[in-house]
Amino acid sequence: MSKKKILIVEDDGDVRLGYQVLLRANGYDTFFAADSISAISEARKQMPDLIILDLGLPAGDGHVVLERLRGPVNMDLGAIPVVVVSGRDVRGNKERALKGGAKAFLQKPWDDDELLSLIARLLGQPDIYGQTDGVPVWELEDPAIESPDR
Amino acid sequence: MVTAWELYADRPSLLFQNHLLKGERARSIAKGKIPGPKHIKPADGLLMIGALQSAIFNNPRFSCIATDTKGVIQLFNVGAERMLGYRAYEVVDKITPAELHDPQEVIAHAASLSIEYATPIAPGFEALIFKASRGIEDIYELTKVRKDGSRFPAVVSVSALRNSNDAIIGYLLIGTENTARQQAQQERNRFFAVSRDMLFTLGFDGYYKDLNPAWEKTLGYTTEELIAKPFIEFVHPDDRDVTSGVAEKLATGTPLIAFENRYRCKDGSYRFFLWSGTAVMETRLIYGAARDITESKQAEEALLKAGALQNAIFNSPNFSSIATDAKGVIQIFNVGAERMLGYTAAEVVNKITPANISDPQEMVAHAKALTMELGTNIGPGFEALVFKASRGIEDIYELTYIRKDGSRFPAVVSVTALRDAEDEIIGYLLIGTDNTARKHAEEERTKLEEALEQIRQDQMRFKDEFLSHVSHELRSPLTAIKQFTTILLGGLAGELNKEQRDYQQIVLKNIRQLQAMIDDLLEVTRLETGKLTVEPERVSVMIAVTDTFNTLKGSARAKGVTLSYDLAANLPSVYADPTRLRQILIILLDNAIKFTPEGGSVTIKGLILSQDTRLLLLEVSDTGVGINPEITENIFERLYQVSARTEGSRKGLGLGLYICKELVMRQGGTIWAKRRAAAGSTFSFTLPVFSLTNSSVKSAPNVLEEAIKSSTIPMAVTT
Repeated sequence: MSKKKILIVEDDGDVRLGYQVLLRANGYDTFFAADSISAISEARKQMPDLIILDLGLPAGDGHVVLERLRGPVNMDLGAIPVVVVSGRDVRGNKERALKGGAKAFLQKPWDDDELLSLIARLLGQPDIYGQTDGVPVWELEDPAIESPDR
Repeated sequence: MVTAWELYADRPSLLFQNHLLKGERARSIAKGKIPGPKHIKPADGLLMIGALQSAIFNNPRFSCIATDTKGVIQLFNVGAERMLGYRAYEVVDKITPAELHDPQEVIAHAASLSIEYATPIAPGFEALIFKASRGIEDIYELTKVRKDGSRFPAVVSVSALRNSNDAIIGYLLIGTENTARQQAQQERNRFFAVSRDMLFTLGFDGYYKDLNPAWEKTLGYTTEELIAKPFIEFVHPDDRDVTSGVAEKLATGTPLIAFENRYRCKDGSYRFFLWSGTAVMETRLIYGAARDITESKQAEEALLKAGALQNAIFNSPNFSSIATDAKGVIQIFNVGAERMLGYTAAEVVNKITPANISDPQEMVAHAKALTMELGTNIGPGFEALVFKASRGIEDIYELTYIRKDGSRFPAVVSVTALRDAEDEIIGYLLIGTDNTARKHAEEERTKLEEALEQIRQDQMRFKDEFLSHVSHELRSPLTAIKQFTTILLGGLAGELNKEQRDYQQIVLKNIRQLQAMIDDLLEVTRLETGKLTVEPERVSVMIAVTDTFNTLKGSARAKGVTLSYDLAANLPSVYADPTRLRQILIILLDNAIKFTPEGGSVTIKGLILSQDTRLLLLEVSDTGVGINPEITENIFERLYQVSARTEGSRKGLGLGLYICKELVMRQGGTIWAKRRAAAGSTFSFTLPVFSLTNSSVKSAPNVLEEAIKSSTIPMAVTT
């Protein structure tokens, strides 16, 4: 079975390295983009199974990247699950991200267990707790948000 | 021949002045209708003259003594007998009048006559008649000696008696007793002595010649002291020049009516004197009086000052003083009013009322306000301006005056009723000051305050934005730190030994604290800026509590604190923001765990308030150190730090309970804290129970706040 590919869009090099060590150790292939423009090109080039998207990026923030990923121009990328990660407030940003088509929102700094569990579930893999029920993460996380389309 | 009566009849104007003839009779006499008193014939006139002479000669008040040319007495009338005590026969043909006089005086009289006429005149009768013998009328004062030796002053007039050839045949000496004159003199002396005015005789040489006792009394000097020096030395140095001028003018013969100067007393003080005087050129003396007017002068000065003050006030260009009659028609319009309002007094006096120069809109508003205040209908116009003043109430108000040119200015006007002696209102006085400067200052202050408020808000916003920015930025490095700590702990960079692992755990624990602080900081920033939103909905308390319970049971277990919950059966849902509810519960539970020592317990309770079923009560109780009852209010203040903590806990930012309070309040609830009777504390808060009605209302009513705080409920619930 080939490794799942994860594209990480993150402008902080240290954080990128952290992702790389963690995710590779957990059996993923990692690719990186450091700004919003290369995020799209890298996604098309690698066709990852999952994208981890930071909101604070040079040349346009993560919401813009998400919009383009989900827009009509990039139909081929539309099915790739996106996890939005940010140091910004949950309020407003989470709702906006989920409405924009993200599968989950993670507040920086996250717990690695939480991140790994989330990735596993979004990729239909058994997570560290052995759960494979596929229930959308955001519903468990916040009952207030019942669906991204609310 | 024309008689006196005929003369009067020809001059009716004089007749009418005669008080003996009045009315119709006088007019009839004047017109010759009736005869006047019977006509007096010339023969009757001669008889009358003889009778007159006889009456005079026999008058006991005159001594008439006639002598022959040698002076021997020939006639000695009744008056002479009475005055001198001699009978006529005792002196007639026996002695001369000289023997009836004081011999010393006769000698002196002769001596002075000798000098005057440069010819030796013997003392004796010759001296008495010397002038008369030369056709010069002679009147002199001499002391006469009575038969009993007593003396009396007399004025004697001497005439020569001549025959038809003009040859002297004798002398007539008519004497009057001069005692009355002497008495008058004595009266004058007494007057001089007792007068309270200071009377003086001042020589042209500048020295006093005579001073009455009032001088001593007033100034304290003796008369000798005053006479010893030129009078000018007693005058105040500043007044000397003008005083000398006045004295010089007096000496030229111009009478002095009034002159004021200051005069020195013996004690060195000065008193104000009012002088009057007249110079007699022959004697080279000034006769006068000075009056001490110090007291009245002081009173007058005070009055003048007061008067000047009133004048100054009334004429001040900074006050508009407008006096009206009782109907409001302007009677006085002062300089200030002219200056402020642009009208001349002539343009307004007797023409308009002050209401005519006031803003009409304001007059209407003022009248309305008064009508409301006093409960009686008051029309706009002058009535409104003076209504209070007319009832004796002091009235000061702000109004807008309109100038002649139509421009306006704000004025503060004080209104007073003017009353006559019977307390009847005769008019009103309106004193106004231009309030423009004050208004201007007020506006400036308001502007300044607004500017300051703007700056303050800008600063607040900057602070909030700065805090928000910093907090967000802190999260990035914290993310990297946490990542690699987790990596190391996960053995992704090689296996750690136990010590290394323990240390990394400490790092991770501190990262979590730092993370929590940043979260709190951001939350408060949102509270302050109003960016924190509460979106209430139907929330299951059971789910919220169990969820929180699950989140924190790990840390409770780690600390050795028992965590439990106790929720009443059939607990209804609340109308709250689920995220916020869990946030509140986490802060309270986290605090409780932090302040409870190992072996203690923390409990969450949920129940419906019996007092108000619209509220649900949630309580977090612990068996920890407890809180000081005095600080149960302050504990919810921002940045409040509880000093007592259990070991191992760390000082936080002190924002948790403040965030809790704000969140509870914004959801229509109340939060409070109590020290438990046994041990530890209880933090309680209420939230509105979900119902179909409150779901449509954003903020639920909070009716029981006071009842809850009155402590009847919490203890019952916790024990």
